[in-house]
Amino acid sequence: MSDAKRLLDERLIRIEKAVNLQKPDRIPIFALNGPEVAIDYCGRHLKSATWNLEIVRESLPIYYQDMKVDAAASAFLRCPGMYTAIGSQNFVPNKDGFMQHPEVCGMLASEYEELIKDPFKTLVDKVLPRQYKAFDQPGGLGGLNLAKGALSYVRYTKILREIDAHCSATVGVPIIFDNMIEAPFDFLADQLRSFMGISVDMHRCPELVEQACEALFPLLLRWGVTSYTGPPKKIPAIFMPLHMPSFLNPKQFERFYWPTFSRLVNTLTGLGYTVTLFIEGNWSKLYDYLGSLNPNVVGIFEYGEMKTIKEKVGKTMCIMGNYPIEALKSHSTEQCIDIAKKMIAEGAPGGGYIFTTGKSILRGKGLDLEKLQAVHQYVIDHGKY
Amino acid sequence: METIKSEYLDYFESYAAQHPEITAEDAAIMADPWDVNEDMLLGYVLSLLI
Repeated sequence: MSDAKRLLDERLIRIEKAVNLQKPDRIPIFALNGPEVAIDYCGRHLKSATWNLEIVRESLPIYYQDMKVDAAASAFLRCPGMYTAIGSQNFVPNKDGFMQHPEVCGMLASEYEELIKDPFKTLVDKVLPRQYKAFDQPGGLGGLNLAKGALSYVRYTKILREIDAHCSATVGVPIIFDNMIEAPFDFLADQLRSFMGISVDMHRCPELVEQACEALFPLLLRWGVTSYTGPPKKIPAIFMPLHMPSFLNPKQFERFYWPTFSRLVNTLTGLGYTVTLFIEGNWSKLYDYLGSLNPNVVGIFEYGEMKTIKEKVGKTMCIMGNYPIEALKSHSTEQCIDIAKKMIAEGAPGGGYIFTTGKSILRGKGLDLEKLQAVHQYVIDHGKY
Repeated sequence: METIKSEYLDYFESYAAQHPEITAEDAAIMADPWDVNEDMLLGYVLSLLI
């Protein structure tokens, strides 16, 4: 058996035990980052890499190996080759090639009724042409551009999945997320109504917001199932970043977000999937909700007190995240290690814990990744059960 | 798994409604490939909006 295969098997067992709320041989370490930081780390040019994914294929395994991680997310890179070809308004590259997501509104408040009646048709007729100007061309050109986008999407997705397999085969790092979906309220807010639009809608037309989430629910559930590779498994998980809750008050969360979100998560876990939630922002007022979700959920926490998180949700949810990446910028190596020491003392007891950062590391600039290596080495040396 | 009801999906259903000559045996042969295409399209459209 090759070293990479032996490492892959060891790491999968380590991760699976933690996800099952058991104690592995030691605390697993997860790489929460996009490919961009690996490209920076390897001294490659980001803009070139987003057009030439061979650079991503070369960079990611080096980064994972040097950072001594046990697992990673599937490579997720918004490729400008697709987005520029279809006239994207919602994802645009900056000067050095990093994709930005401006505040955009793809659906008018007056179109709620149409969305509720036939969400897919409304996404195609109303939202796509606003977010992707190349679809809104006269004659056959709009259709041709739609096909161009679909072909690019299939091509880039295939290459990125090949890069995942390459990382597992060469450096033994398992990829523990498969596909990505959103909660219905986040899907409605992010690119249909926008942050500002949804904030107003919750006051002006609350019933329509509720009905829109209900109308979107079957699409997101079906997508979660049909975009997953193969039959349901514990690992890899379905990844779900959660965007809006930290901007909602508890009453709004309970009324607009929680009903379709909790049903989506509980339905997917009931079907045999693991769902990994990226709990963005501070959810300290909402831990009781999270603790009431059915098992087979992993929570990546951006903020919060690890001790409280463990007490409130640790009985049913595998806990990840929370390590402040800002420390890698401003603290000494010893101070960075001290933070990790406290965090694992609070999060690791009893198992069900995976070490990672609270934020996804986007770029290498400004961060001292040698400190991250030192922190990970500390977890490897002192995180044994 | 629940079928998504949409004028722009449910292709087979719309097609069959316009072609009364389609038999139950035809439907069994044709419906599955239509469904596969629907899920690919659903995935493509939703992926552009997250």
